[in-house]
Amino acid sequence: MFGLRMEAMSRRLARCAFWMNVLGHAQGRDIPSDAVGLPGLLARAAAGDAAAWRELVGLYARRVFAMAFSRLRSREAAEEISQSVFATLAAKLGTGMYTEQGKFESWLMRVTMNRIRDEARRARRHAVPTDPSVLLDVRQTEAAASGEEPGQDERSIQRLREAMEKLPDADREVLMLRHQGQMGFKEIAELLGEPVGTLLARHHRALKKIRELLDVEPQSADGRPGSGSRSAGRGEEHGR
Amino acid sequence: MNDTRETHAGFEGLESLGAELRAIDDTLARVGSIDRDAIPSGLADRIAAATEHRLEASNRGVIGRMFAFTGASGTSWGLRIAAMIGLAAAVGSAWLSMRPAASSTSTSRIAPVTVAVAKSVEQDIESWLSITNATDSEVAQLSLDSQEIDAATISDPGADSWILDGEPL
Repeated sequence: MFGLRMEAMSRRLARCAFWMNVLGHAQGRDIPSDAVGLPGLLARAAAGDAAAWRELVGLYARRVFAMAFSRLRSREAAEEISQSVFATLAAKLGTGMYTEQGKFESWLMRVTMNRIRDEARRARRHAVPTDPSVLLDVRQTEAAASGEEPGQDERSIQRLREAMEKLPDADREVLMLRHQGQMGFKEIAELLGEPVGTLLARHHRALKKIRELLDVEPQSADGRPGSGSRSAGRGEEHGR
Repeated sequence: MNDTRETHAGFEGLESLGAELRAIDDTLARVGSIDRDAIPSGLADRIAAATEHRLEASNRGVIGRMFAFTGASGTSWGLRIAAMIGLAAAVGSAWLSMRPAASSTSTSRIAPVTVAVAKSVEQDIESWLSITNATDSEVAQLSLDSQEIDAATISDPGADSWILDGEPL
């Protein structure tokens, strides 16, 4: 009897944690925990308070950078995009063109996503196709120089990145906003203009696509089937 | 700004996701954390310093200050409406104060033309008056003539035969 009650209670707690997450209250995010903090900070920054502006940039720079870095895989490009996003924010705040209605984060991330899309499009236009054998050679050289095989964890993460690259833009953006941008589902839904239920379904679908992509057995450098199959993401669950 | 605390609250409670997808989701969260930690040290400070001037420059403008962000949407709209009414009142009063000055300036410019026109109109009126005076004197003369004719007719001895129905002409 007691065991059943404990089980029911733990289920309730789990549901509560899920909906807190859905509503955008994921724990440990960089943003101020109190609801009053952000509007106050924005107001002070808009009034020209340099300290408030530095604090605001400090709060969001990592997330903006991470989103750009994840998509473009270039630190320089990610730095440029970060600076461009905050320059836009400063101009909007200073001229009063931005009005805080509790959607600052969605607005900032939308600006970021737009910049990333533009840059990705531009990079695609100017991209020079690289011979895959050259990339393979570089990897082998790096591995030889380091004198050690990359760890299982690194391989898993690398494979996961490669799988994300193969996702359609819309699916990848949901994952980026959630994991690099640390946004809750409700905020992402606001940003993309979709109902939360639709967004959850799309997120689920994106994860399933990644699983399918990981299920495809890759060929390792020496031509043997890679050992990384189904390891990305799944190997870690033993430790949880 | 390194957040060593892990940020991602996973899919707890969403039983339909399954263990495999949850594990992928958790790994994606780790990738997100790695990407956030990849930010070059001091980049946030550099960005803040490089973009700070945009806030200051924007805040110098009167209009920008008037419509400045206030942090609460209701208050912001109230202030905006008040600011717009004030602005409209200022523009209106300025326009009204400018209006008479503009008309006096135009009068002084066309004064010689107005005087010339007035003189010509005065001459026309005088000539018209002289014409009407002459006409009046002629009409008066005609009236006197007709009265004399009437008097001569009545005093004529043969006038009795002209009486019809007991009434003289």
